[in-house]
Amino acid sequence: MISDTDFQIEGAEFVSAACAGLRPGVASASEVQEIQAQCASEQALCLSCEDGFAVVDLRPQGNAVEMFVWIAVAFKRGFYAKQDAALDLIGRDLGASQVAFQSRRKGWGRRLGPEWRRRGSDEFVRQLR
Amino acid sequence: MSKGGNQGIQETPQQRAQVDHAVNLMADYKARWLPVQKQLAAHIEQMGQPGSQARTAAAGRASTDTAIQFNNAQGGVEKSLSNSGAGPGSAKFNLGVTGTAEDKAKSTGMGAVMSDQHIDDAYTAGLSALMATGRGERVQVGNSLADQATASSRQAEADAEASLAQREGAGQLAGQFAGYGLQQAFKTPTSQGPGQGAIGGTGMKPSANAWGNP
Repeated sequence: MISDTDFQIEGAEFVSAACAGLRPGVASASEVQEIQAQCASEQALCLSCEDGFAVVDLRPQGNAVEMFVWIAVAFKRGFYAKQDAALDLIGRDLGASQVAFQSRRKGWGRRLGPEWRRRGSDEFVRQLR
Repeated sequence: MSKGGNQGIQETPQQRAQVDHAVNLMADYKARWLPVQKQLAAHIEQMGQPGSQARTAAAGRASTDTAIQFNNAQGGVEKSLSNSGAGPGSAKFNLGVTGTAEDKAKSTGMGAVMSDQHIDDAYTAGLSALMATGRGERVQVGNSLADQATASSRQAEADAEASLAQREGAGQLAGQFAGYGLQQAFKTPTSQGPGQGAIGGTGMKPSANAWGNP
């Protein structure tokens, strides 16, 4: 579908529906509302496929544009590994040159490959492939 | 978020322009891809309608496949019948050729039903794909349509081959029966009863292949 990946663009209402079953602590109700509002005001893009969904926006980083992942939720195990390349394609198609996300879970630092670098205390960034 | 009347950091005009640029990039992306997405949804929806273009095309393809395969089969039957000594216009020849035409009609009907079913399958798979678009499911939609094309062709070919075999077999059987009849007729009379050799008794060597070589 979009950018020749498995993803399709969803409406803002998808966010709250898809986040309804999230474990406590992943995203609070107010955070989900905020993400949904960003989608509704076209400041962010909700993308879904059968493996999961992600909400991304574009933000300037110096002269570059960064695709920032607000939230990514797996419907199936292996979503991130499987759709990593697809999100890169979408990012490139959007005009971004790097991808970043913020996580409260420290474990991400150990799971991510060497291409990722830490930004601040809880953000991770890498160049889009 | 903001506390104690903090006005936040003021953006410079350059930063504002960069943010606008990023928002425009996203709007442009949506403008490019949303119509594609909607078009795919509409296409899948339309495919499921009775008498849709996809159904008509599939039925036409199945019918053409059948026609091609049966033309070959009919040629095969005619050749086989001619080789066996049944000339065009003879009862045996007509039996074989007419039988092929009947089989062709049956196969065309079967092909139409089968291709319609394949469109149904593709439609169902397409709806699932719309609900949860995934590469696997999209491949399934594609395969369903491809299956329809290959299956109708394969079915027509199989039907034509079966028809060819059956009609050739029927021709051979007719030849064998005729041969058996003549053989019985040419048999020398025995004590087993009247009728045998009623038209025979000429001393001709009976031949099982009197009416064609099976």
